[in-house]
Amino acid sequence: MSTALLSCLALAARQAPSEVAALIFPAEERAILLELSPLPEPPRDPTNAVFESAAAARLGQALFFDARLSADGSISCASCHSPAKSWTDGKPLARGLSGLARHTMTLWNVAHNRWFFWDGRKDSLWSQALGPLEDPREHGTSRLAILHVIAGDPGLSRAWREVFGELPELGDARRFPREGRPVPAEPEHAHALAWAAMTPEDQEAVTRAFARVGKAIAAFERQLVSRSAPFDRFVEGLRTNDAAAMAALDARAQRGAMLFVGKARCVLCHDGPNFTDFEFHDNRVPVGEEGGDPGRKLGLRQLRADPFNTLGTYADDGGESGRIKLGLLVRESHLGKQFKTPTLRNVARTAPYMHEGQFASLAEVVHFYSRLENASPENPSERIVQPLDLGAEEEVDLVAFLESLTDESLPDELRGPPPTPYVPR
Amino acid sequence: MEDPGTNEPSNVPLETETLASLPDFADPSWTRVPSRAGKYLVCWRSLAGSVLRNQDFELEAWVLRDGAPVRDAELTVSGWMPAHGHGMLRQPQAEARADGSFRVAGMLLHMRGHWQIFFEVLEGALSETAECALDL
Repeated sequence: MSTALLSCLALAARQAPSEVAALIFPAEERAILLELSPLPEPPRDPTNAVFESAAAARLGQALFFDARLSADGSISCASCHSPAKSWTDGKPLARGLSGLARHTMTLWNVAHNRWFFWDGRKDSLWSQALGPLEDPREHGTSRLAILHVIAGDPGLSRAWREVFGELPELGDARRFPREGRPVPAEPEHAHALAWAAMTPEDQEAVTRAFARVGKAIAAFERQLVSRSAPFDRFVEGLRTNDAAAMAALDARAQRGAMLFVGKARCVLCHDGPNFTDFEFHDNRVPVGEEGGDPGRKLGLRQLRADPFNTLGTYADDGGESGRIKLGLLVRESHLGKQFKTPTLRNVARTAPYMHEGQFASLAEVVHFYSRLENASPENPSERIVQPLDLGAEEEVDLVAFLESLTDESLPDELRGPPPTPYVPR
Repeated sequence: MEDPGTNEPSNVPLETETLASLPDFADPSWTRVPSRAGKYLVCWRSLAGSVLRNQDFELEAWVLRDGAPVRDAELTVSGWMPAHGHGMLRQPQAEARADGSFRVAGMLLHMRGHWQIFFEVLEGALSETAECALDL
């Protein structure tokens, strides 16, 4: 996008009319807009027995902000999912310990998701939380090291007992080394050697406890809800013919809303009250080089091989929900590079955008979809991705609408570690 | 959301005598779809009462020939979005039941727009497909 055009967009945004004259929404557009709010409660998670436990959420909150859950004590979940940055890191690509190839996704409304990570290589929120902990590029720690941290911390161990009961007998150093995890690709890795020296029974006890670490973190993350944006007040006004409530969106944002569900067709993928279809698409975003990140294609294979998937023994419903969700999943994304449709709630606070942080601003994103300049090749299975040919004013309107999805009104007590990992009596 | 009943074909007679012990397929909750060569009539309904976009649902389906349920047939259900160039993300699982019906699990139509729903009936070495449309 040219600097001149960006300047033009910025100027137009400053000149947006402050008065609000409610637009007349055609019946079809109105009907779609009414489907986009309110956001319901997140779905239940039958694979996580403690998904709605306050005590588990409190423990999970403590773990989320605890940098001891990393190889060098420098990385917590909040390092990349910072509450000050709308639960992202503001960087094009995640850093972690040694740098990653993808952009950090926000955690807003994360419990609504069907799949996790850009490539969907996880199918539950608790399983997602486990991945970065043992990834050498992110936290770089191990399940044994994490459990030793919990066991050695009076507050964490008390909270653990109250939520899950007793930890494995970690005091026996011969049975439970300080560090260790399965490392199938590197059998000579120190973590792998320590793990291999353990009995299968002890390995199983540790792995089951490790899964519970994820389940506690998931219970915390379930509380990261954004559902009271100006757009939600506007829709309520639209529903009740309340002009004052509709004024929550100025005329420019209202025009943008009309575009979103109409000419611009954003709603085809960013559908429903969380503004995502929860699935994967090749949106033809420019990628660095051919032969790069395959997205969903590889993610699906990883998911099927993951012992923590919803068909596995660590799912608390015995694999029942995974039987349909994962067991009947057949589509391999053989055409193009598919990545998950992200939520648009708080999208104005989560720049940069796309799976590699390709675009610095919403204006750039909208302009890309308008022209598809430098787009990756057309994908026969994504025929809907065509240039929108929006005018400059329309692009500004659409950005104004996206900004109206902002609501970061989370209780302050969720923005940092809790005073204690357990619920005081 | 579309009422599934709106895909009801107009020219396929129901032999009400034969169907006396079967569900009332004339009820608006049922969609009746003749197969392409007219050999079968597929009657289906969502067990959730309606088809909701991007939400799991199950189907009850009956494959009728001359008004009677076809037994020993296999049923395969799939969906396609012609304007998008893709179909469903799952292969729904059809289970034959003792009463002659099929219970189809794993239905998920994940995007808004025009869907074609295919019911392929495999009986012996021959197959025939019934097709209907859903606009979600």
